[in-house]
Amino acid sequence: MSKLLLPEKSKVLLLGNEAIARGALEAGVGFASAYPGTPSSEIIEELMKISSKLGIYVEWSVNEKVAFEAAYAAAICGVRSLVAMKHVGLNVASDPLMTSAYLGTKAGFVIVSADDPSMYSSQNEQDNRWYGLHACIPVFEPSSVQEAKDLTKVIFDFSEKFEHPVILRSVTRLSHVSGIVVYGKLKKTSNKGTFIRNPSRWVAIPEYSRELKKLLVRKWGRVIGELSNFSLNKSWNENSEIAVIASGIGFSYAIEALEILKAKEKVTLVKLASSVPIPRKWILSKVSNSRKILVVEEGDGVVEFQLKNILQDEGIKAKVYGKNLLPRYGELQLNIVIGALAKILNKEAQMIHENLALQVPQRNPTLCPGCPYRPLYYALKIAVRKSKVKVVYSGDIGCYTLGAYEPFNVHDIVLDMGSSIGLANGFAHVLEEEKVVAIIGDSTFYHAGIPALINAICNRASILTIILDNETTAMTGFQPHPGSDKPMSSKQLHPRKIPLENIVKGIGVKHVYIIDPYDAEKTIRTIEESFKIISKEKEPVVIIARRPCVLYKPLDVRIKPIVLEDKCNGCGVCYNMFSCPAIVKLPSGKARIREDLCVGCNVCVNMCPLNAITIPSKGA
Amino acid sequence: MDKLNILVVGVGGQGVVTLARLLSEAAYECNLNVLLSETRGLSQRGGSVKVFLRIGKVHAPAFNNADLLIGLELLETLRNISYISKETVVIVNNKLLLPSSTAYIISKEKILETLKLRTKKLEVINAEELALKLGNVRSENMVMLGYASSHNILRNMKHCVEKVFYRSKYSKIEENIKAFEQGKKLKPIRY
Repeated sequence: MSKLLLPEKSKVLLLGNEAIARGALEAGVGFASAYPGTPSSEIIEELMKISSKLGIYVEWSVNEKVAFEAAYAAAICGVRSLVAMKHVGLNVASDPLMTSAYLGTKAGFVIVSADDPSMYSSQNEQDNRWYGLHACIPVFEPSSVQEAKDLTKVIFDFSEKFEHPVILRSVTRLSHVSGIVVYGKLKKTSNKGTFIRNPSRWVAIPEYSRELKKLLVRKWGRVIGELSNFSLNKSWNENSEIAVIASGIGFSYAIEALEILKAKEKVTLVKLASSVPIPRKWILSKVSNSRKILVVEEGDGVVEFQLKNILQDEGIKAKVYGKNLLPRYGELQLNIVIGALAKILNKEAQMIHENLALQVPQRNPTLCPGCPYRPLYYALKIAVRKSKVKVVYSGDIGCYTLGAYEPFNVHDIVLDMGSSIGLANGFAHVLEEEKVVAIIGDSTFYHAGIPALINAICNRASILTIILDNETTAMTGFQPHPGSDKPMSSKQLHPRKIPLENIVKGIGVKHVYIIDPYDAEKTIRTIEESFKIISKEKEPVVIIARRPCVLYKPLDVRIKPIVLEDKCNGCGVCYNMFSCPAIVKLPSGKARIREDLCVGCNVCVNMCPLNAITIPSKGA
Repeated sequence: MDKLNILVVGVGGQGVVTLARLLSEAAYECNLNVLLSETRGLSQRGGSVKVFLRIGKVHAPAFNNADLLIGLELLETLRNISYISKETVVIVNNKLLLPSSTAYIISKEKILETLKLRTKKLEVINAEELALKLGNVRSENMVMLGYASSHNILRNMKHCVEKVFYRSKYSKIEENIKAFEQGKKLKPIRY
């Protein structure tokens, strides 16, 4: 049985994202959707596994905007709903987000934004709590794995009470932290609802929206008031001279730092689970007599900003510290929080850490052995050289972004999901000498590449688009997409595959090639041919490079090649240019294949200019 | 000790996360409070991997000073030297994997020398060698797990590590059992 289904009072070691999923189950969630993205993906993954048992509808949507809209519609029909995404995913969904605050909801509607401070797996580290202030949507932040569950449950009620969407903001060090969680009761749910027609409520046309905006402003005032009674905001020792206000995961650092400094009893400590808007009346009652206030929060100074506004309004002259002492980028660290606290407490902090001037080379992540993108990039570089063209590589987001590193360097720019083709539209019109190559993954293409390619066709942007089709959303853990052979929703219906070539041809691309990137020769020829067409016809060309991810679908036949030592002259093509991690350089300069890493794709056999790599049964 | 900070480091694919998860489950099995902090997604594909494991009276998900560092590879251990202080127990696999794309060269000896200046408690073990001898280099993390479980610093959890390992899917593989059992008895090498 899934550990998410264990009974009340169970004490379970749970991942933060699993705790969010359990919280939603305890709130009786009936509908959940997402587009995968680190560090958010496990929420929907876990709900999907148990969906049929509990009668919840769960789906992987094509992108965050659609995921948002789908869950939102369910919520306005009275079904408690959750939508999950990574921080940058909320940018994609920001259009419905902003106006959902005007329309409000019926049943509880929770938007989970999993932010990625330090950018372990993201292109930026934006703090999505700003969206709350921007849209007038309350933001809640758990401080521990237990609270991730508790808070998720409670804010469904909050959302429903105000008929208003709410944001749950998680961070990497919460979503991907495992801790012990004590369960509450599971709630029965339904995934069926009713839509009650009410145009002045649900139709955002100017006439109605003007009224809805007025209602929103009034509602926001009531929300601020109600949050002063919010049960998961907590405080210790009111109105001491020094106060520490900590929100979300910042609280876990603050309380431990205070324990280490033995100062917990000396300061007012405020834990904010509701960081936008901050509960004005409540917080003033805790700190209005404090002279120094330190705000500890991960990301930007969102609480600090609001607090300063309130103190200014009230004419309170406390000195507020925050992002002047704590980092404005990256994650919080215990020793930095200790240092900041020690400073306002006028204490000596014992800092154990001197910086070592050690130069250790980066170990960048690499494409896996057997990855179809490696031979593709290898072939692409050769084809470009043979075609004697200058190229701008417009890259995109997925495993294949690793092609940005040595030795391939095939991403000259990476901006956001789908931007490879979007940017290529502009490059193609302003660059005269260079050929523009857009490189995009299958899931990313379905997500945001299609409108950009339509644009390229209509506006005659002559670009080469290479769609890397590995049949899955590999980077985030093999979630299905519209071209996969796995169902995308809990209904488990036979997948209605939408092949990439049907889309591409359907929108009017005249030149479409499908290649297997394991076949390097054909790949090189096809790319060369594509450059010729682009030069001559000024037409967009699409190459679909199709081969499943080897982790997703391991190869059937796994005969691993060997290097014939007498034939190998140590030229380095295999380990330097092809750079498969399973091929290592011996001290002699010759190559050796590491059997433990090799998956037997045998692509290297044809790469070796001296035929020194061979399949044992056929060769020596 | 009311809390124990453990850092597990290595190269993506070595089983760093697996090792750390088994230790976290063991702590949970022993009714200890536990926080395990990993990074997933892009950060996993063959790059540097670092997992924070905290046991006991702890709140924050990460720390700056380790009580125990388990290094599955030498360069990754060196990279994380700022977590090591004089009292840190460092258990490291005698294995060096230099990133292929750099011209950087450093010897095992140089790394060990640097580590030794930092801590009094460096223990180098031939986990890779043993795993290879047992037939599969992939079980080197289980050698490390076995060795760590029999170390004095984890004495309170030893029986739980045992229980959790034998309950896990990893014990369904013969080489892992041998690796785990022989790891427990392994002697650190002289360096």
